[in-house]
This record gives sequence, C-alpha cells and structure tokens, in this order.
Amino acid sequence: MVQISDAPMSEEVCEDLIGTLKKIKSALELRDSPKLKELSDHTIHCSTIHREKRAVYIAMIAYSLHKILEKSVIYRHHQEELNDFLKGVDENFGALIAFLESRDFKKFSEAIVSILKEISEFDSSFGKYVEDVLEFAKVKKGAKMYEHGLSLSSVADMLGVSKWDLMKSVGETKYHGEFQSPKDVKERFMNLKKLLEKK
Amino acid sequence: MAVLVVDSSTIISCAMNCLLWVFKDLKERGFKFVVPKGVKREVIDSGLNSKKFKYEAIRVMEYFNNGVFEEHEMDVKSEASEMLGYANSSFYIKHNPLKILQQADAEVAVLAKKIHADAIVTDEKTLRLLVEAPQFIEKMLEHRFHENVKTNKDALYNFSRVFEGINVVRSVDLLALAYSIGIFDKIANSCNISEKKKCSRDLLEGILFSLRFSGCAVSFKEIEDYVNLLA
Repeated sequence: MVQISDAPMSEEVCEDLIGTLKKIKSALELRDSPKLKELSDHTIHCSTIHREKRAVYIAMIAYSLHKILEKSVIYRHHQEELNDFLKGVDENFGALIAFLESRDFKKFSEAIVSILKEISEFDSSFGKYVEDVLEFAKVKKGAKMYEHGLSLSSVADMLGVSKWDLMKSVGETKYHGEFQSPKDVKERFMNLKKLLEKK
Repeated sequence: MAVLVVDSSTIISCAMNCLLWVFKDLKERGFKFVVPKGVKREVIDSGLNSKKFKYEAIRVMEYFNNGVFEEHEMDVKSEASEMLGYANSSFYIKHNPLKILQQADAEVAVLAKKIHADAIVTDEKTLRLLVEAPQFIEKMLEHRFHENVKTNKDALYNFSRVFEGINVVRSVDLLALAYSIGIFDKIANSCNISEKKKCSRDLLEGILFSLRFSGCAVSFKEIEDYVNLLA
C-alpha cells in the first residue's frame, strides 16, 4: 500500500496541478495517448522544482494511462473491461480535481491511492508484462527527473526506486548526447594514463 | 599507486555488463579503488531488494570480499552534509532551490578530497559537471526546464573551490584505458585471429556502447572518438 503525504501544498503547486489534472482528464476522455505522455512530462517539471512527491504520482498515473492506451490492442479481447476501467479513472480524476480545488489534501491523497490501485489491478488482470505498469512508469519518470539535473541517488531517494533500474532506463534515453562534454576524450584518456603511470 | 574513489553508478554499469573483472586487472596494474560506506550500501542493498538485480548485487559483493573494492571506514557525513547544503542551494528556479545532489553523492566527493584521492569515478552527469565544470549546469538546467535559472554564486563557489582540480573519470574512460593496455587482448585474439584489428575495434566499440546503454554519461560522438583514438 502506497503511503502518500496529506501535508498542505503551496498555492503555486496547487494551481499548477489543478490545471494539469484538468488537461489529463480531457486527454483521457479523448483517449489522447501522446497528450497524456506530454502532460506527464510537464508534471515532472513541477515535481522536480518543488520536490512534490504527489506531483510525481500524478506524472506516473498519466504515463501509465498513456501506456495502457498506447497498447490498447493488448486488451482487444477485454474492451468492455477497458472501457469500465477508463470510465472509473475518469470519475476519480473529477474527484481528484474537486479535492484539490477545495484544498482537501487528505482526500486528495486518498484519491491518488485509489487511482493507483485501480491501475495496478487492471494491469495485473489484463496486462501482458511481468513488470507492473506503475513500477515501469516510476522508473521512466525517475529517468526524466535525472534529465532535469537531479542526481540518480537523489531521484532514487525521492521515488523509492532502485538505482539499478534508473541506470538502465537512463541508458535508453538520448539525454547524454545533448551536451558537449567540457573535456574531449583524448584529454581524459591522457589524464587517466598519467594516473596509472604514477607509482 | 593512484587512488580512485568509486561511485555506485560506475559499479552498477560495469556489473550490468559483467565487466567488474577489469577492476581486478586494473588494481594489479596500480589502481586502488576506494568506495565510501554509503555507496556500498546503496549498491548492495538496493540490488538485493530487487528480483531483477539480486544476482548482480551478489557479484558486486564478491568484489568487496576479494578486496578489489575497498570500503572506506572514514566518517565523512558531517562534511558531506555541509557540501550538500552548498550544492543544493546553488541553483534556483522560481525561487525554489533545486536539490540536485543526495548524501551518497556528496560522500564520494568529500572522501576523495579528504584522502587526497587522484580521481572520482562516476558515470553520472550531475556530480561530474558539478566538480568538473559547474558553469555548465545553469545552461543545462535552463535548457531542460525552459525557465530562467538563478545561480547562487557564493554557494556554488563554496562547493566548487573544495573540489577544484579533482579528476573525474567515467567507466568508459577506465575501460578504454584497460583496452589500451592490453587487458582485453586475450578476448580480441580469440574472437577473430585472422582479422584481429577489426575484432579489436568492434570489441572496444561494443564495450563502450554497452556502458552507454547501461547509463554511463557518454555521447555517441565520444565513443566514436575513443574508437578512432585507440582501435
């Protein structure tokens, strides 16, 4: 069972999250999978700046829904269950927005737990992969936080995820090619060689 | 003997590619690999708690037991906390400090400084840039967040002046060196005797790419440069 804080959030974070939650709800209604992914990335900006773990959970939920919609062909024999699941999540999103608008942080956190549980149950019943879609989303979002400048230990600590998983996920991204290194490989190699020659 | 303080990221990327044996050979050639207590815990504990990485964690334990990695007993917690304070108050977005480092990262850097180590070995970009080129970080953060980043120059100076001049090495650099001094010759010679050169080149490329795909902060261009330089 996930433990989520019900401590008050700053007004800035609340307003940002309410806006994002409304957009996630619309994207879900339109079954717009790419939009859900985009919104999950936006939420990571917010969670990294404010170190707000509840925002990470929202990002994980949006990403998991994106994956479920993207792979909807997997559920072709379970269309009715998929529709019921999406309808239930949509209703819970309505509640999530209402709780945050009324600054009821306790009920807001409980609603997050409820959506996480719904996703987990649906995935374990009908998903095809051994790895839980939420765990997968957590690692993916963790890699995104690393791209935003946090160290892997910092991300691992915040999300309760293994650094082993994070390293693997980071390796699959293009992030490390984005910036030029301050030293070229020849300089690095020569420096290291000098160290080896040191007696 | 050159002393290198090793971070968990390097141990993990090498363990995932069955390359820990290279550390043993490098030790015999004159490197000493020191690991802070917190880092050892971070690698072993999180690996043992994962079904996926339990076996790798056990293999890492073997390299602590046989003395290739030496756990350092020095308690650097308080100095690390101080450095962590500086690092985590160096960059601000919308008046919020970005907590970019964690205790284990700071322990690596502080231990290296305290024991006068010759280098820090890390595959992570954040710690490397903070030590090697802190001025790059502001630009990197602005690019990622699409927001204005404010740097607290005093805090950043307090961090970077302590670590100025410390070499930062990645697993790809270490493995490229191992390749260049013949540690992989036996494999290169046995994989294709008639076309040794071609095999050597593929071997080096394969090693460096495998580390890249396991999370080592190296670009494809740097891998290409290493292959052209050494193979």
